[in-house]
Amino acid sequence: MTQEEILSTPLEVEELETETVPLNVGPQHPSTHGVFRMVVKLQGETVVDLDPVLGYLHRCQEKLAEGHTYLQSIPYTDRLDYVCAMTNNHPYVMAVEKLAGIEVPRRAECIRVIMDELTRIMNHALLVGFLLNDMGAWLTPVQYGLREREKILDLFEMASGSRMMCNYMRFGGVARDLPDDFLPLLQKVVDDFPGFIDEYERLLTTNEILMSRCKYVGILPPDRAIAYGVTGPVLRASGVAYDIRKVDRYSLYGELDFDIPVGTVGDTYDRYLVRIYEMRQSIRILRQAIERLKETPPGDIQSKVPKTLRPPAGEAYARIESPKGELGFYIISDGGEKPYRWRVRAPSFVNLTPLAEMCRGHKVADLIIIFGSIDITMAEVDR
Amino acid sequence: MTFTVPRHDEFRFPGWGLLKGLWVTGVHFLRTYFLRNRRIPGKELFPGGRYGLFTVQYPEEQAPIPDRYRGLPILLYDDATRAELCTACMSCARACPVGIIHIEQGTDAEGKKIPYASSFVIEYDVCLNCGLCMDACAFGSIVLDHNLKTARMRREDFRMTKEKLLRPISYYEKIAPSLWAEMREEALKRLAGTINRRPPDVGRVPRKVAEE
Repeated sequence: MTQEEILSTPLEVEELETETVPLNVGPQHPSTHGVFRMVVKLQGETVVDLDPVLGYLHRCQEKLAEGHTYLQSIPYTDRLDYVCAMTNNHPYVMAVEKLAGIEVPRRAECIRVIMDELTRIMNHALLVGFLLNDMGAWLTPVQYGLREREKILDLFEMASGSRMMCNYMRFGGVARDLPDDFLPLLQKVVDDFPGFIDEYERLLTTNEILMSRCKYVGILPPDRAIAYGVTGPVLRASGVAYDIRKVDRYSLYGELDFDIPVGTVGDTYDRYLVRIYEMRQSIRILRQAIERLKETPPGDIQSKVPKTLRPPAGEAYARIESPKGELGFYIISDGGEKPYRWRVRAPSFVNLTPLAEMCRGHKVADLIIIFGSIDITMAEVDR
Repeated sequence: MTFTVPRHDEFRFPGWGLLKGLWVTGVHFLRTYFLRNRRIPGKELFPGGRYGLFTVQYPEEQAPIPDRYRGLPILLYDDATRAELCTACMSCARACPVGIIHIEQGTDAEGKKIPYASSFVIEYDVCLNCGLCMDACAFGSIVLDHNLKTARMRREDFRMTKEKLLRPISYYEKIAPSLWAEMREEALKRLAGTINRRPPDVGRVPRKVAEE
């Protein structure tokens, strides 16, 4: 054809066709909080479907534990959810105590509750900061959270010897008693913290950008949340008042006075608010736990446990309300030194399942926020 | 009890939330010039308050390390007698979750076992810093160092032999006084028993090394 012919031919465009475009988010992506890959189907910029791909951080932890004695597995539980090592130790030692019928002294229970609540505060303060990171407020909000977390990590380091991989709890108690200068500093943290939460709320809660990015984004209705087995702050933000601290009343929580914050809509903003109010409740718990700790005799932190623990054959499941949800350990013993089966019910993994449903119909930018608001650690998802 | 979180749906002057946030960051910005809330080595472990600078300029200055800090494992020997505390009982090797402690018990000319380790190797690169070896040791021999500079050039350098692991008790007493005070009595009592069961000059650090 000559040039004239081409130009004179009329273009026959009947209809513009659109097609869904697959987009890989991750596995190496700064906002995936680890190595996580999402295969997102996009219509324009709207998410049509989402397919999570897991397993990049799989470390065979459940199988590894079958080759270790019960005591040797405690350092490995630290590495499940590396942000909150203390709450990972707790359900594991609870499960083995249940299996072997070990009593825990009251002082040790007080210390465990204090460590759990400190971990919860630390995790939530950090998560809210990282949620804002995902929104694009790079590093300013997270530095307020990191600053407070640093003080709590100092406390952990004093008590256990390590900032993150605490390895502090033992069967029938805790590794060591609290050092002498721990309580005054803990009191200082507890007294200072409400001021910090007020400051954080002044900075963020009524911020117009945060509200418009978060409100009515990633709604998870209560019935769907229950159907997916979601636990923790994500479930409570959907309006279901389910907290294992209240349901099971394990450790010291039966006698402590605290409230459960619940959301109404179940969107990202509710998830943010529930975490802020949970921090305030944790401070309340800490105050009561410190009072109870002071009543107990110092040094009484460990009950008699045989050096090589051989629990009788049987099975046990123990669960706690970890900062991310229900963290449970299921252990089968065949009467030997090593467990026959060692299973973790990881909250991060279960809370990740409704991600596709929450993201459908939202934009790509919202996807990152919804993912961030679930609060997961990939080390715990893949194990 | 449960309560519902307020969603702040009420009317607010547009931009009010942003201004409030800017006020918070502005106050922080100004206060860094007047309040230096940093941790001064040896003075205060814990910075109080919420304002100021918190940065520690690491290589020049260092935040204090608490007694219980769990670094990499080391072995101890007595300053006066130069006798190693380790009796090669293998409890640390059994307690180690990753199995990086390798011990060989020493023997005399007739092949009878003597309570000392003829070879003691720890693979530093795999260590979890969990501290279970220290808990398992009944002789107070294996303890955790506070050294933060653990980088090495080659992988072979991480295989720490007994000569590289041994430190005097006075060193450990300096870095972790409270922990050593807890186990001092038991450890020294057991050391006296161990020396009696060893032939003279076996399981002792060479005088030259000890003097350094």
